Amino acid sequence: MDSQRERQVIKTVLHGDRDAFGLLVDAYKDRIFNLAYRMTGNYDDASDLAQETFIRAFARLHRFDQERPFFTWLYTIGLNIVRNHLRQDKRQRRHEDGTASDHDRYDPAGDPEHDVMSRQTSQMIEQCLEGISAEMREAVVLRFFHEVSFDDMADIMGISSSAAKMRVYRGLQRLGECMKEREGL
Amino acid sequence: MDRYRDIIERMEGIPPVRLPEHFTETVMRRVHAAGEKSITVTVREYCAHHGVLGALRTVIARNIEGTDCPLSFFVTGAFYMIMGIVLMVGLGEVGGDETVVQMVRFQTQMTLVSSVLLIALGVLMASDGPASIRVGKFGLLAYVCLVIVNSLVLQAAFRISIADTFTVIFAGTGMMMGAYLAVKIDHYQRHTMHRGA
Repeated sequence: MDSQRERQVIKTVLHGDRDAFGLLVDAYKDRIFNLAYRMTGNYDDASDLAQETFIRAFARLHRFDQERPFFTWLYTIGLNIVRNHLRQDKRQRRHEDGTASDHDRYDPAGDPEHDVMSRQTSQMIEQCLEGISAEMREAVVLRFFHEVSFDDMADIMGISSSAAKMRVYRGLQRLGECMKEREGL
Repeated sequence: MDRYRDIIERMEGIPPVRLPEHFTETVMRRVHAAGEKSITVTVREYCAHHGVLGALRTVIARNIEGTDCPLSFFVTGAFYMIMGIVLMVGLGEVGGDETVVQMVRFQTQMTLVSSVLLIALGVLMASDGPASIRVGKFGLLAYVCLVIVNSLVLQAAFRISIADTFTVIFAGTGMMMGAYLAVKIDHYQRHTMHRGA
């Protein structure tokens, strides 16, 4: 959805058409859900947190500054909700006890052999992500899983662009150390 | 970053996780339920689109959210500016002990320096936004140091009991303003992190 269309939809919602909010949910649900999943590593928590993000965005849509991009605002809400969740749940469970298996959770693309390798890599990266601080994790996730620019990251995280770059770099450093260690085993 | 190209490529190669089914429907059910429960949502929607009420709501919201942080710096700076000018004009012809006169005149300079510092911080935060919060905090620290140093100098210069009261009031007021501005910066920082969240 382009930004002009987005603004129209937001205006429609603000004028009382709540159903129009579904268009925004459809446009961003994958990204917000995946952000929550990469941050928590828990499928069920990610689903709850993503829902909470949209509910809060709806409740506070009247505060949204329409001169700014909607996605950075939504990501900010999402990250705040995730941060609160991580603070409350110090254990930061990575091994979920939900109903679907990991295999079911990834989009079924490519050949099965590639899938196995991809799952192994994914698992290792997820485990290494768990080991780095939440601040670095969110920087790495935004940059490489969501391809967010450093300027937008700065906007989302409430820091300067250079601080965002530094967090990404340090996150990569930690990930590199962790992966080297695991691959060496 | 090139050092970590391999890790980056591996991360970018990880496929997205599939959403639970009926995600949008679940969210929309909750959206409707939340909307039905809360009368404030209806009031907000009305206020957001009705001229004066909308403007009033924006002002109140900004005050609550802390987006008026640069304004608070301007206002405090303006207060010091007026006080500095009054002191400059009022104490122009003051006479008496040379040390005391110098100390009294020093107050004018301190007040004007504080004023310029606070207004400059306000301008910086208004123009640079969240990026200048760190500078704002250092500036505020400098202001608090100025207040403390000034009260210590006053304390040392005046040896009469009434001067102690004056020093305490002067320092206390300055510190209270500093605390108020610190709260404003904190709210501003939270607001930019939670913008609208």
